[in-house]
Amino acid sequence: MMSAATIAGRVRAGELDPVSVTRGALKRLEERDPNIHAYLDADADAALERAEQVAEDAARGDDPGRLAGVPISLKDNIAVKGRALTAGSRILQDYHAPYHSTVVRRLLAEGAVLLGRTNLDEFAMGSSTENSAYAATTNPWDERRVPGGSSGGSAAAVAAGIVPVALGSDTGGSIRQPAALCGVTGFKPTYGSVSRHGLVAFGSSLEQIGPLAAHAEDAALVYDVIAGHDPLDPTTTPAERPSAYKTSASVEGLRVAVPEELLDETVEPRVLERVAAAIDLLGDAGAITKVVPKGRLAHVRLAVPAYYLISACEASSNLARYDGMRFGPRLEQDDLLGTYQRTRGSLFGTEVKRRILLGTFALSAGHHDAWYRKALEVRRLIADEFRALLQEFDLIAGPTSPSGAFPLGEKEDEPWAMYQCDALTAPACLAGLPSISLPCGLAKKGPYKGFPVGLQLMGRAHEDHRVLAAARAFEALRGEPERCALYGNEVAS
Amino acid sequence: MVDPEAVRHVARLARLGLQADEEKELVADLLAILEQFAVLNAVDTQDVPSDSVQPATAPEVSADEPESFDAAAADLLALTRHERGGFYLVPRILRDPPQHPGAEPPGAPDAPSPEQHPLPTSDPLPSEDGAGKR
Amino acid sequence: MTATTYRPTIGLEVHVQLATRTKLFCRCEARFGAPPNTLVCPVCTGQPGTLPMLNAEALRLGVIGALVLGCRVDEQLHFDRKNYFYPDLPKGYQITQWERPLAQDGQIVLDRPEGELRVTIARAHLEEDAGKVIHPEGMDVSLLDLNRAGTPLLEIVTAPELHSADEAHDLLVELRRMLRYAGVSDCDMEKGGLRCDVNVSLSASDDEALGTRTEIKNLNSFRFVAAAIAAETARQRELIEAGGRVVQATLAYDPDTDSVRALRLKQDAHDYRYFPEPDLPPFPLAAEWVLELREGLPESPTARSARYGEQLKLPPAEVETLVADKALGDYFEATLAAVEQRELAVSAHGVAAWVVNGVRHLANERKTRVTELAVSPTRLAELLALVHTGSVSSQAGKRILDALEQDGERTAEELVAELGLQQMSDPEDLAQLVSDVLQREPELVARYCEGKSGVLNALLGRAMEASGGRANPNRVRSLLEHTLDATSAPQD
Repeated sequence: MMSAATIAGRVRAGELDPVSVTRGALKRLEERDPNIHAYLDADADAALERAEQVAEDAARGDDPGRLAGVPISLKDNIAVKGRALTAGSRILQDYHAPYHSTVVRRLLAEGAVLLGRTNLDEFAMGSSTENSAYAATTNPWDERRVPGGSSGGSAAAVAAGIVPVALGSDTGGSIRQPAALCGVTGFKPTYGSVSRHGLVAFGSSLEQIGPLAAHAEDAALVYDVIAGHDPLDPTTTPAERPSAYKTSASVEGLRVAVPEELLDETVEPRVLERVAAAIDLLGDAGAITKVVPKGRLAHVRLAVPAYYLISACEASSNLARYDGMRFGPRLEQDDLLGTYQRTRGSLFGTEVKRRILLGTFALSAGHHDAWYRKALEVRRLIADEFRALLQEFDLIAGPTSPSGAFPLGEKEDEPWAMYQCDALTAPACLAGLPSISLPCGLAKKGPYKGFPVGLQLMGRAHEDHRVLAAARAFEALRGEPERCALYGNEVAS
Repeated sequence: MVDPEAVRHVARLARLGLQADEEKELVADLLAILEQFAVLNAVDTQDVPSDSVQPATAPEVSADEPESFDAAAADLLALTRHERGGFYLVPRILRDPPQHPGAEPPGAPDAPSPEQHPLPTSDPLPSEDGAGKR
Repeated sequence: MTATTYRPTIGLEVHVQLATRTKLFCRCEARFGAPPNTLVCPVCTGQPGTLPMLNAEALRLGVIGALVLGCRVDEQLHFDRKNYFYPDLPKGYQITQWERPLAQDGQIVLDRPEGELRVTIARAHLEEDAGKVIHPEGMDVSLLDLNRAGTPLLEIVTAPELHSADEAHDLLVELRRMLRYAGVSDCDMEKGGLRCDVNVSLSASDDEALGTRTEIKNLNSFRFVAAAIAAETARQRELIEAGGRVVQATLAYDPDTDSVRALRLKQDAHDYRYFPEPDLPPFPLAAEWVLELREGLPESPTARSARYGEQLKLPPAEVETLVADKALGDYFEATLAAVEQRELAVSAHGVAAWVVNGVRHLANERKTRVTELAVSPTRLAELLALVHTGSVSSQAGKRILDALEQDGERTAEELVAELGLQQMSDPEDLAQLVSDVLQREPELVARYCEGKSGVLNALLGRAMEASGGRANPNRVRSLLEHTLDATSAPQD
């Protein structure tokens, strides 16, 4: 499958018909999705109609845009006007978004073709996409394994070669971890660089929308399109956002920190092995890599509790609007209290209820200071440590996930084990930093033998373009990633 | 720290109706999770501010000009079937009266009184907090 | 043993609706009286994925309100979420300010018969209003209208420094006057533009310690505030005197029975789980901007009152009337300015009399605001010019005022001509008028001749009436006196 940049270039040049591109994607979806359940809905008619419109624009001589004719799939927590929006939850069954999210407006303005809603853990809470109320997505590398989560549908769709790019959202690792487990590139932008208007909120102070792509170049291209100040999201910053696509792809002279805290014993050794090799590759290409001894990120080991408490507190409030009063199903009882309790008690899944309870508890009278406030303070410590380290270094490198793709059901009944999946990705969210996961080969031995490993690069706030440029450089050094067992050369080629 | 009573209280605050077995499971989960999270308590944060890690930025405000969203008001009402004559229909409110500025003043013509609590007229009220402590 | 007397201690929480065109966090109109759920958008109905957008004007009015009350404005703006479930709260939380209010430590000075009373304003903060739930009789469901959801409010909290219903009433009147003067809020109670919660506790007169506090919610008229305080004070006193103890509770006042009833006891107290609103990061309130607003504050009612009395030498009753209603006072000032521009020697007192007696009555009669009258201050000044030069009598002037209101187009001069109200000053016409009146009123003439000189006014009235108000009253009076004295003199 062609890269997004190639598709857009050829559509703009009049050499490629967007309708045929979309038909191709829909055909692959039809063939492959029954095995992986990456999609909740293909929305084929709307995609084809849109592709025809882009074709007409191009035929008329109008510039159809930087993403002309590129089929892009959206995680089903991003609002598209008139289209179903479930967030993977029964509490939004049959809900249709009454407005466009800002990222969708931006994609459409550049000629993108929206293709399908991808599966996710309910309200983006999870690391395996098993928490979806509708289906569990499986990993295209092995249908018995998870694709990671919560943007597992988007990661699997890209890994299966259905679309070159998909959007996900990342609150504590939900773009990068599934990207790592599926062998694709996943980028979480700096907090405040992409509008959250139209993203179903989970952890408001942490999350960003970002691309998952087969090629780092496409992640940069899509980032350029979706990033920008938005009056509809007061947390977007007015700061200038240099083009990531146009920044020259080089790691020469970049100072790269490799903190020992991110390489500790909780990370699978065969994962570390691949990551170490990738870091060596960066060094060979002229980056100044340096292992930073323990101590500089002394509090990063507390990222998981801090992240879970803060996100759960915010979620307990963000999810209060799902009460059946103005939209969504309502399970009516004799009185108001009963109706609220039955609607929310029956239509939210277990993980969502667990987090709402955790967050409500941590904010409640008598516990607020010990849990919520404490988590905020620890967040501040972690953020300050990362900021300090990034004053000396341009990038921080390490593994994305402690493990590779694990078997379905393995951690389903162990919330605490599942939460550990975010140990290495949550810090960038707590600190608001841009962070990318790049495929860096397959584990050679151990429980994840033959499965992709992700290299994570983090950068300074508002230097998304640098992180993406380094990622493009790494991709060129690495060469084409190993192919996906299921779909042969088509993936990422 | 967390016992079934506390979880029930929190579930009520969050308006989550839980089945008995589910509640039992969630109590165990929360207990296990908080036990892990208790590691935070060991951190000295005496001098650490708890304010936002996002720096305060220039005022992001918008002008006081009516502007229509790309969604018509009627389309919003159409998102529920519990709707009549332009109003959302909500369950008859019997108790738990509103305690906020938006509340209808009692005695307003369109607001029949919520279910009345008898006003306590004499002490002691054993159920009152602190009643026995004075 | 003498009976213990009890003194109530009262604090107020007042919610005023800020005078913006749009809501606090979206650009829907903040307007009263529209059909239900027509002034709504995805933001104020709490649709998934929506975020708040702060209204700059609401912030500006909030700061002005805080400054008018003499508060110290915070250097940073912080919003918090207050979490609770109720159908009129679309997001399941209200965006308000909890930990760091917009402003603190203000003061309102009340002019009380027993002297000046200073009441501390503990805090003032911005928050969004909820929607409206209606419970129609005989229906098994309630109705929800979200037009009001998201309307900007300023919540003003006084310290518990009031000690009678009367003081609370005075405070509210003064607060309303101050906020209206500054253009912060219309405080239109009929439209819910000002609502009040009252805290009441009783303490024995010989004891400093305050008793247990109860809160009466959502009073929407000043009269109800005073009545509710009186009722609650009486209830608490009776309870204590009967050996009982006051229990902390949230109450509602029922005007039909003039009594309070419990809405909720303390054990049912909500746990609002406040935390900083992550969708609205804190932002600095520039000191220069606040200073600019402070310097631009309009004249306070107290200052205006002093100026009218001391500089303009208006009589106290007129000062009070003009200052009580800012719009009327503004109308007076505009008229005065127009009169001065024309270099007329009409005194401020003269202008005030026309505004208070003429314009105000006109507005009252028509049940409209003075700002909405067709008679603008400029048109009134034109009329005053005609009266001043003697072209029309002041009595005819009143008729012209009515005519000006009915006819928004023509000038006072044109209406005078059309209605034939030019002042009658021709000696022959006046002599004829007087002689006609004396002929028609022999009884009055007779009584005058008996020495009842007061009858002269009655005769003057008849003459003015007969002239359609056009006769110059001074000249008619002297003509009447002259004629009558000439008639009656020989009998002395």
